[in-house]
Amino acid sequence: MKHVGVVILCVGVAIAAAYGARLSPPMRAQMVARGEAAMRAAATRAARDAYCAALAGELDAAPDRVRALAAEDECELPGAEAAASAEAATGANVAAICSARGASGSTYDAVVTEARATLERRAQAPTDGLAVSTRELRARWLAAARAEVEPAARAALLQPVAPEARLTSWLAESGLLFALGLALVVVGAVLGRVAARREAHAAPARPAGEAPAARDLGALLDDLHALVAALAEEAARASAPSDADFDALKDRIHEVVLEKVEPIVDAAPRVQAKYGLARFADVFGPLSSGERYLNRAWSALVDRHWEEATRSLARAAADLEHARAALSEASSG
Amino acid sequence: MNARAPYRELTAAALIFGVLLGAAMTAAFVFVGLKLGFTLPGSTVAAILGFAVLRGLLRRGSIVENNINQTVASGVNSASAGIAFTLPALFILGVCDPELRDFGPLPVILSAIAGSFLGIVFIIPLRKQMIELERLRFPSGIAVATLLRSPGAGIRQAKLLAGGFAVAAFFHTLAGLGVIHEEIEIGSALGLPAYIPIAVGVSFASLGAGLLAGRGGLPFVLGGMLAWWVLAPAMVELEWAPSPAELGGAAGAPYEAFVQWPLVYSEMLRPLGIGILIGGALTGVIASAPALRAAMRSLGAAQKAGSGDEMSPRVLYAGVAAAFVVLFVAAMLSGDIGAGRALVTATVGTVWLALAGMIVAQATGMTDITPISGMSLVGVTLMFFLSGGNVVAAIILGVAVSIGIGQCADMMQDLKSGHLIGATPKRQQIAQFAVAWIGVPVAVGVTYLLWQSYESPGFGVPGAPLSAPQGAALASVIDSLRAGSSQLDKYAAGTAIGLGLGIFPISGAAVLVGLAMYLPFYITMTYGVGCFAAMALEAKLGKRWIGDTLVPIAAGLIIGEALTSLTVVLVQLGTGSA
Repeated sequence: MKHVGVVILCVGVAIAAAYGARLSPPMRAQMVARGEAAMRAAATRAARDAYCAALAGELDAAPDRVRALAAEDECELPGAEAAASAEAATGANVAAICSARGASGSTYDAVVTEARATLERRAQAPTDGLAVSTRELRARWLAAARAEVEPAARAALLQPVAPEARLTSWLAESGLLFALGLALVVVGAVLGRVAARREAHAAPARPAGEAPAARDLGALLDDLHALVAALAEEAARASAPSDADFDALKDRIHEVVLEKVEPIVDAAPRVQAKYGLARFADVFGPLSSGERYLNRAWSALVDRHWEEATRSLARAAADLEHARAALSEASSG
Repeated sequence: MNARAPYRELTAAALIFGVLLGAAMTAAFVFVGLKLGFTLPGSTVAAILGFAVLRGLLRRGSIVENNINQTVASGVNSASAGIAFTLPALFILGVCDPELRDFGPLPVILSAIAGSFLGIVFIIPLRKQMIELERLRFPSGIAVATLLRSPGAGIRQAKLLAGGFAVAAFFHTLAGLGVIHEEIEIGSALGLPAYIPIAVGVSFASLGAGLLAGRGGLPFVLGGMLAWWVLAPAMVELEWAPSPAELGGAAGAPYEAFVQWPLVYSEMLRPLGIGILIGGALTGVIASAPALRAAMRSLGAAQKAGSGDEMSPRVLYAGVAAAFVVLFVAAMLSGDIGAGRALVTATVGTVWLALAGMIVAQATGMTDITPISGMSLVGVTLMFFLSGGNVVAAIILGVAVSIGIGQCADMMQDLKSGHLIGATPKRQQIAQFAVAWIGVPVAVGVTYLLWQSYESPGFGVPGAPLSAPQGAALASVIDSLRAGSSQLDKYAAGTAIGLGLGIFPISGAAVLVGLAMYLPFYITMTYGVGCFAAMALEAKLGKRWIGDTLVPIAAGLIIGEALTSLTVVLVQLGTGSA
């Protein structure tokens, strides 16, 4: 049942996510407009890059003409970085920025007319003295820019689709299949939950050669508690511990955490499914606190503070005892 | 250490040094955030610097005292990202709109402090839930704990930590200097279009996080594969995405780039992922209610028993009430929205902060990735509508949300480190409470200063010295909201999927799938490589080997990248190459 649940869930997520992500018709129309503008802009950029590179290549041959055109066409020339940063240092042109932002209040005709006028002005710039190939590249760039004007204006002046309209048109277009996907998600998730609960109540599988007690959480907890209590007693008995005592106790705590705590932690999902979240919290809350005190004892030993290590071990033992009692209570009731 | 003296933990030295370090980090990180659009992993950087000074140079401080120092420093610094990513939007929008210039620092500071404290108090029950019961990994928390434990962990572990550090530092330096690409794209070599990416980011921190997560991170990787290897090509194949002919061109790089980023990612997957995160968190709240109740019960019992380990639940209630009042006052001061709207925005803001804090804490716990910008975006959108379209109030309350959820993520990492070294949670929380407000005036002050210290706007507009990319992005979202646009359909669809997925008995599966759709795929892939590698190594070498060998290597990778990021950024800013 678990695997069936997972498969249904995955199929459901794929369908629901696909139809959930699908654009509503008005949004798709907007993306067509934006996409066309983006494609045209990319073509213009490519043409401009080719032209600017050719222009830069002629800097030595016709420096004045090239510099004038580079300024007009906003091409960067080699060694112009310093000039560009000097320009940036003069700060933002607030009037120009606000004027550009206000473009959304303009009409389509106004935006198109202004863009075309700019291009026409550029087209009039003298190009004599440049190689034929560079002039051709410039003409190609200007042609690409002219082709971009209308799509760019359409994209810039798109009216937003109101959220309610987006929602209703998306529901009308994709709602049914989205709901089907969602239903599969819920069915798969519920099957998974039922399977997890059944697994938790079934006897845990025992790997070959492993003693039955090793798989039992109660036994693991008893074992851990006994070990930590013994460490705490041992630590309390030591009156003048040497450096070797510090290191030995520290290493033993490290072993206990890795070898004894980790297997109990691995059992967490099973305990949670079997006893429910509240009971699980009653067991694993004190267990985690005990683990934290074991860690504190380790840190105190590194810092050569035997008293703190002793206190922490005693506290860890007490917390583990609480965890064992909570588990017994959960098992009995 | 003098054994008869109390074990050093919450000391004046740790607090003072932590505050100084945190304040310096806040000022620097706000600048970095405004200049580059990202900040650095505060907890990890604070831990490295604190450890180097206290343990390395001064040769003092216990392991748990070092942890307090790092908790304090990162707690102070957690204001930096929240402020640098949200407040600049208000300055930027005010450039062309005189009505938006009329705000003073007081409501911003009040709101930010309220958010900061809310973030800490919401963590009180979440600590028990996520660290003790769910036992989330919090990879950076493990990395910091490994660093703090290194003096006692033996030569072998120190070598492994140093090895991981060296590998990450080497490659991150090369990537930072542009010697190697930050993303390795394999798909194009195989002839796949850009919208079916097979790409790995050169991020050893992500790889380390994946190594630490192992099998637990699989839903994240599978979610990414579903999004980019199934859904994206299907959308193109089914012509849900406009065809090249519809766009007046031919298939090729520009078409593929448009489909991948502005269309599939920004309009489809990312908002859907945000919705799934929200839905998953809502189900998570319902599903974990018994455990949260048990957590609160145990906090109360610990108080009665006088154990001194846990913060009282009363602090949670009183903290929420006090922060709510401050948030309400900030809302009232932030614009002419009236008491009724201020009350609603403060209430919803508090509830959203709790939910978003839970999402962010869970995402950070499972992947080390903190989706603050997505959660802040939803927060600002909510505030915008609830305040009746009042931009000033929306952003000022958005600052609280942003800082609060950042505080949640940071505090959880610190508490995870604390758990692994045996720190006392209550002392960590007291330290965080004591200092969390300090970063706010520093971050707000630096932002005002950077805005005004140039003749024209200091950041976020063309020609300004600092680009403030996150603030500019938020300003553009607010412009869209003002024009009446919002991705409501995708958020709603995602929330429904998240609610359904949350029923599945793998804790956090919905959050992981949502996060996978919210992020670019190369981040998910790098993390996934780590997960699969950890699973294979565990199957071959056993769990013990993972704990003894892989954890310190992975910790070294995370720490190495954090420290190298800081160094590379400082070098770039110093040489003017950023």
